[in-house]
Amino acid sequence: MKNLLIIAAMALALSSCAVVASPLTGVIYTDMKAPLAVTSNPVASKVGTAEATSILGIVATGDASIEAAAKKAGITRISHVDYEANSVLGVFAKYTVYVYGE
Amino acid sequence: MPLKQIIAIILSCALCTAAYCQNSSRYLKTLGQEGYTLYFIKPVPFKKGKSQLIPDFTFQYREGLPDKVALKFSLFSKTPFREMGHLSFRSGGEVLGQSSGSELMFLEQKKGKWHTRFSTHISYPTLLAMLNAGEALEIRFHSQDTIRSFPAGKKWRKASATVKEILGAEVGALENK
Repeated sequence: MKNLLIIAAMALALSSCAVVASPLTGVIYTDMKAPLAVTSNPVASKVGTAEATSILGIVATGDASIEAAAKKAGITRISHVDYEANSVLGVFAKYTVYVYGE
Repeated sequence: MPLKQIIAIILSCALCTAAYCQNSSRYLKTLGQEGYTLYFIKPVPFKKGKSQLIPDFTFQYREGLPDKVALKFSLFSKTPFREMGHLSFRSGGEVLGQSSGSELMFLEQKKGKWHTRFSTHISYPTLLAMLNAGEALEIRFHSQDTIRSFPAGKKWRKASATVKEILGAEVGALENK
């Protein structure tokens, strides 16, 4: 009974922690890369990134838009977009967008 | 098995996974293209007080050494910079190289700070010298009469060690620095 209470308390505690959008999520650790978008332009000579972070699921800041990432690299024709999701113990989470293009 | 042991095992596995994941993809991305491979060294912050210079590096690798490396950087400062002279790279008083050409990509104000984004170029040997310098690296931003110095931190030490090893194996010529 005591163990069940501990597990329930942990589940409750973790459910309000920092989570990051990802097709697969690890409660303790997440390090995922996945595709976000693709266009008909196959050429990529530049890469731009943009990210947003969350702490404890309480504060989340940043601009992880495709527009921000493309602007940083001077990309006007996008080839494809990937993203990366990282989180550690629900304390810290980061979402990074990678825009490829020319 | 007691619950404490199960939790300990799960946490140990998670920590091992986290440690194992300190791999090249954390600092470097590669993309195969027709006729070349695109290398992208992810942004690493160089901080000095409340100012930050965050460079990233992109180059195309065909056969032989890359001609040049595109260096784009964000400069966060209290005052805006519309123009730059060049960036110089130093390690222990020794000049490792400097950037050539510069283009202002954009300038905007965010949360009371100016975000200036510049694009410039460096040679591949200069990039290798920067990676070899590790935490001793210092980037100087030259703009008219102003020189701002940004020392490397732990993040650059970790990133440079990993990237140096990968580039040494895949692109080569570390000895030609």
